[in-house]
Amino acid sequence: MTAPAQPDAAAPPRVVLGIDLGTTNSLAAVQGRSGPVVIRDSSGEALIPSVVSFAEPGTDATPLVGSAARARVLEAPSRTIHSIKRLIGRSGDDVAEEASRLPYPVVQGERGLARVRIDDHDWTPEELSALILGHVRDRAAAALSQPIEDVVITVPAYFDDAQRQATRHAAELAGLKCLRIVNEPTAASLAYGIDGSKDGTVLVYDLGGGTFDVSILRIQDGTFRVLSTAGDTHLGGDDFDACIAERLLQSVGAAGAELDDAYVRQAIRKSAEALKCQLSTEDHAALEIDLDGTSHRFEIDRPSFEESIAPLVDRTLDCTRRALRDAEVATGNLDAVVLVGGSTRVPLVRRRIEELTGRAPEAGVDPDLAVALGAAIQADVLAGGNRSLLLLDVVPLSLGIETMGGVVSKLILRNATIPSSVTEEFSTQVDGQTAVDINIYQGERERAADCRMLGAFKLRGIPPLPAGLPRVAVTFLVDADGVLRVRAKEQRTGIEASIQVVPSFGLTRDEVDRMMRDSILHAVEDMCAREGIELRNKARAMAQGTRKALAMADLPPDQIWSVKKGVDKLEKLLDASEPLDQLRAAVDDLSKRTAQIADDVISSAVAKALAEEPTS
Amino acid sequence: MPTSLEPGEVFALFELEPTLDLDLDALERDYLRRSRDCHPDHHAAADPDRMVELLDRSARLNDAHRLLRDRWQRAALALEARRPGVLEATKNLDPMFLMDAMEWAESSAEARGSAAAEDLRQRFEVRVEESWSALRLAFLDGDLEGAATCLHQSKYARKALADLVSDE
Repeated sequence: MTAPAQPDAAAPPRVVLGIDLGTTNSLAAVQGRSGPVVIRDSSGEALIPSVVSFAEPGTDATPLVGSAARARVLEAPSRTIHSIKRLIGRSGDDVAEEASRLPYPVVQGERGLARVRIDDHDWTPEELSALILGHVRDRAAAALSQPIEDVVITVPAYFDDAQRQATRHAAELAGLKCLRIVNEPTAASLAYGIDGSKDGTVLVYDLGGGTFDVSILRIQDGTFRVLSTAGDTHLGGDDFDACIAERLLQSVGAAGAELDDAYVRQAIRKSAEALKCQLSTEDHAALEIDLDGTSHRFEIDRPSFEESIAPLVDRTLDCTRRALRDAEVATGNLDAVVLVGGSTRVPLVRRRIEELTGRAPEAGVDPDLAVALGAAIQADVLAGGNRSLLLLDVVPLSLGIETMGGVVSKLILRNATIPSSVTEEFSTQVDGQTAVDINIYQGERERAADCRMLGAFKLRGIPPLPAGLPRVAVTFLVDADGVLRVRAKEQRTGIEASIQVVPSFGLTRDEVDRMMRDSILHAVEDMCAREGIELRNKARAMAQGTRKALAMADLPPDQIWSVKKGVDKLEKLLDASEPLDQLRAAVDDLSKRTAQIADDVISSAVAKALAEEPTS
Repeated sequence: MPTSLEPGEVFALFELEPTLDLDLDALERDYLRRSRDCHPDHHAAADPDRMVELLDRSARLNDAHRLLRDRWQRAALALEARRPGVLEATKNLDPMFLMDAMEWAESSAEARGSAAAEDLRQRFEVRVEESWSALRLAFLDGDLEGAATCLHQSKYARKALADLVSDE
């Protein structure tokens, strides 16, 4: 399933990239000739940390993304943004509790939206996610040697409408066309079942860094039909870390360390994560943390770790039972259990899910890569490359509108297969009323106050009639992305009054447009920055390649000396981050030196390689 | 369950006559076959008008499939398709029956979580199946009013059963 090699050279003309935009890590995959392939960097690394780090004020450098940003977590904790997925599409109130645990400042922006404050600028989660998406795109474009415009992005199945729309906006801000939002567990099931031999009922348990999803699917003749889904968008490995961090804090607090300090908190978070990973393979973990020049030793054994995370794992099992019940599937009728997400490496998680389902998890699925691979498969379907596969997904949460008395009248029920559309008629409550407010809610509870408000409409132009006479048809349509569109029409007059959905917890159209304009203004700077990165990559590859060639070739000493001098100069410039034109000059110089001997090198290298090849 | 489909349309989308008895495996296969023809994913290059039409067709098919899979929904739709208004006309139930039904609800609420729950669950399950058999028999005899009455009555046993086993 996971071919480690780079994608086939003769890729189809239109590449649609599948992106797993994760809480902790992101990665991309693309459909190759013989199946989906994960994009890796030159050192073979597939995962890109979902981290953005801002340089100190005054310096004009563009924000760092990925491993370079993660490296600054301790150095600049309040300027290094991780876990942004936990904030996307949410209000400041929604995330207040966890924001207090984050080392970077989260503030309330317009309409109460969560924003990240860096110096005097408030960044939206959409913009920060866009930086990550842009980085993923650039790396894929470099690996595939072709520009990427179209993408499929995965989101937790339990993401609500606002979180999905926000993810779409992030793609738009990154200059990407998002052809589809795909649910993560569904994508993982594609990666699992793509070879066509896995027909049956499958449970996908996806516990990532910050979100949990469980989906029950039926795979049959290339059709992947989701029967039900359940989850928690605020439960993941981060919370396991927090359990350990809590103990660490108590321990170092008792020793007198300054706990409010961003550095201390970040150091503890990192240590907690390291301890958790150790405990996946060991029964006992220990490490030393240096804080304020004092070294603190901390130990934890697996039983006490398991005791502290047990309530969290129980929550995932409750969701799993609910999904099974909604799907009307008994555990005995499951044909496979697929575990995805890095947090499913935690032994307690594996043990509990195995106890519940009575099945050992499938071993052939890589929990880190399955979602991206599935996204690439669905990307290929949308690009028209694969007509034999069909994905039928569901709405995770019921959708409805508020009616009299603050009760939500549900139009589309949870686990309805998408696309889904329902029209219902409503009327006015007051004589002569010419406009109605329609408030849209998502959730399972009866009362509007207990559900999540997605947006509000106003339908104007209703003829002034006695209450109850106008007939307002409200149509909910959930498209194949799981995104809701709403239409309203007064039936008696046929007036289809203009309506605008104002998202409660996302960006408005105007805001997206403005950010797009701003990003175009910055595009020139970005282009220079990208040019620099590309040149450096080229120079690095050239230096390495030339050294390798030198070692293989039989050349006269003077030529070796000349080429070596060119390589040395190039490497020195690379280390020193010199201005670009000097680097460019050195690249040109080395090309000239090697051009003279290129034929020699190639012919002698080929001769040598042929000589080494075993005779068969 | 909310739907904007007409009762007859639900069956017509699968070229079926309004019926109670349905081979669910065959329905599933037919549904998947029809979905392949109209799912927007397989027509990503379609123009906007065509896309709207495909979305609408897919949504109707999904809705109809969801309704038909549930035997009680299917029965309600089959009855309405055969005789529009029959469910409304039969909605007033015999007071004697309603007395019994209230007792079921009470015993269900009392037994929840207790040792008696399992015994009661089996009784309600039998009652639910009895309602279904009576409904089917009346439907096959062409007694649509009788079938509709059975459907209304079945709701009380189904509700008592659901309340008993729900953990919310």
